[in-house]
Amino acid sequence: MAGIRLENICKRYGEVSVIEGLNLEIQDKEFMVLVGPSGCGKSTALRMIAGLEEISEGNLFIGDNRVNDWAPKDRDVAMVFQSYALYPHMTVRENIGFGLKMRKMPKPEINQKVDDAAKMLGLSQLLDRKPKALSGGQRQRVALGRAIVRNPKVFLFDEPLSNLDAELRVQMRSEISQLQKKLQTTAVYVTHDQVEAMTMGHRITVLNKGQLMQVGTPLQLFNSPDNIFVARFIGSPPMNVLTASVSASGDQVEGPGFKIPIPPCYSHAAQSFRNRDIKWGIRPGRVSWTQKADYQVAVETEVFLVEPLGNEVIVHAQLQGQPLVAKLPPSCLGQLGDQLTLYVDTRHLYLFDPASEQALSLDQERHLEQED
Amino acid sequence: MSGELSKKAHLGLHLFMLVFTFLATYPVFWVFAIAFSGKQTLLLADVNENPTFLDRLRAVFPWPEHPSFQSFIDVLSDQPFARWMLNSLIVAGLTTVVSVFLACTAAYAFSRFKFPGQRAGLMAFMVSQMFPGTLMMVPLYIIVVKYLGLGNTWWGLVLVYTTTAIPFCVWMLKGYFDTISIEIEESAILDGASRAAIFFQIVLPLAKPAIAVTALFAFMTGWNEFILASIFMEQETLYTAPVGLRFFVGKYSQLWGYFAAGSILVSIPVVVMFMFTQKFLVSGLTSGGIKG
Ligand SMILES: Nc1ncnc2c1ncn2[C@@H]1O[C@H](COP(=O)(O)OP(=O)(O)OP(=O)(O)O)[C@@H](O)[C@H]1O
Ligand SMILES: [Mg+2]
Repeated sequence: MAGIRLENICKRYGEVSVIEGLNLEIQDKEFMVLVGPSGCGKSTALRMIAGLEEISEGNLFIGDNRVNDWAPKDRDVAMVFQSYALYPHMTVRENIGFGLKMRKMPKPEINQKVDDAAKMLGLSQLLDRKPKALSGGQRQRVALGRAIVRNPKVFLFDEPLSNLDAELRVQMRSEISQLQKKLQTTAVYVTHDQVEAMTMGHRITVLNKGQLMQVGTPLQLFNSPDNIFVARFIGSPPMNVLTASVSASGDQVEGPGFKIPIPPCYSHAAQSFRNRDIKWGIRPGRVSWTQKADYQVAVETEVFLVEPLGNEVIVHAQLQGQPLVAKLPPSCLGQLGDQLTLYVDTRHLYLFDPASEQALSLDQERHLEQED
Repeated sequence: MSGELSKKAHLGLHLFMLVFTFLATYPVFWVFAIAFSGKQTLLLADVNENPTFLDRLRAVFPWPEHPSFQSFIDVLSDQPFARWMLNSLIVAGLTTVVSVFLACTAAYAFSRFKFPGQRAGLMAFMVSQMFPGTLMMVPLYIIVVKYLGLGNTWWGLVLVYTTTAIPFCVWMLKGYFDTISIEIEESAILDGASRAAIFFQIVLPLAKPAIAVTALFAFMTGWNEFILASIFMEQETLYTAPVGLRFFVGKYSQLWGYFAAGSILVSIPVVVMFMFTQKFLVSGLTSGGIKG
């Protein structure tokens, strides 16, 4: 029963600043995913919550307590590492029970709890084995068992699935989600895989270079990214972001090879960019190769790479030197030439300030007549 | 590797290796032969004045004329050799226990903690290994015997052997501790284990191979050493086995039978320890390989 609050948390190694003024509130029972590119400070943030890394500045609260100076074991958190970090010389039973033993729980009670945890994770048959004799997925489960058996206030996961093969990863993903739901324990989950982030998180925190980019539900991040970084980090393939300038009238973005009307939701914000540079974005899924409605605007492109993925085709094209990626249905295969007319769904246009890379604010809801 | 060596090449290779194995083991056979000859000479067979080829061959073939255990029996009963072995065992055993314990704790600190003088300390250990032992003979004698008054005691030798063994042991163990994933320890920290619990319940059991190797090394440091033992221990009852062995073949005595029998007795504990630790030797010397 505990939320986590990071207040202006900073982490420095000597001169190097790794995390700069991080503010974040994680609700009780929430599954929060920390996501960002390699080296952005996700692990560091997680380890500061665990108490494995000192906090250079700021306040960390778990529940109602400021825990900056608390020893890790007093914070009552459990962590699952990428490498599993099982104790190689102990059996599965001893591995799972070690935390309870260290907390001086009587033996019969430990056995009971270990049995319960093992049952929940399907490890009952493996309790007498050593980690060496387990498969990757089984080791992962033992690491989970070690975390849940103590019934901690908070679960911390640091890329726990990145050593598993794709199939197992999908399976463990849902197992971890279900486990957290069942146990109702606050969880912070670090990953650099945005699919994991989107599918597991109640909310997602996007970090870049030690700075908070955006916090929100998966759909919020996908539909209304705060900045170019989030727009491109969430979603696959990433959002197309192109450079253009706003027309004198302020109602369209223009660039070499395109003239695209600005949707009404931006009409106010775009005014201040008249005759100035701007960046506009469109998700690959919102670019099609047939025109169905008049809100789709044609652009002439040159195709230079086609990636057929079975249920969809990723087309990499150039719009007068600027890359434009489109996610098209497989039926387009065989009909693609070097030249291709693509249609941009203007209702789903995003506009960004080129200097700050922040999204322009919408002055009204995007109104989408009918979702296709 | 292609296992496709031709039969001839195979044969040649084996022959070659056999020859060298023979050259390496021949002296050992000789020692065995003398030990079991029951005599005190270096000769195994008498050679008459006009030896035939067979006589010569017989003379160099390491097999005693009348095999007997007499030298072994005498060396243990008539001579105080059992006593010397016991002295060696005590000195080497204490050396092992003290060095391994100190080296484990020191190596762990060197591997896991940051402190001033960390690099310098490790380097100092390394440098101390570069001087030949004989160089230290005089200063050690003065310090241990004259100042500390530990001549003719086990502790004097244990002290010296321990300081000799520790640098190597620390380097060896530090190298091994470095391979143990820090995440395992961090896991234990979150599980609520104290530093001591982590050290004794996680790190030491994981480092068993390296500890076995260092223990063997420390034991042999004390067990085989001759020079310092011979100048520290003046009383005959306090001799260690190597000093005692030397005592058999000196200016005034040529008891080769006892010498050979004693040598074999001395090597038994080392061989036994080696057999127990050999499965660790390879893994201990290469490295941990402790992956999740
Ligand atoms: N002890 C240290 N001294 C100096 N810099 C460090 C130290 N530890 C980590 N860093 C730096 O802090 C930054 C953040 O590291 P962190 O491990 O938190 O990244 P991450 O987001 O978890 O990356 P990954 O996805 O690769 O695991 C990195 O740029 C790293 O170089
Ligand atoms: Mg990391």
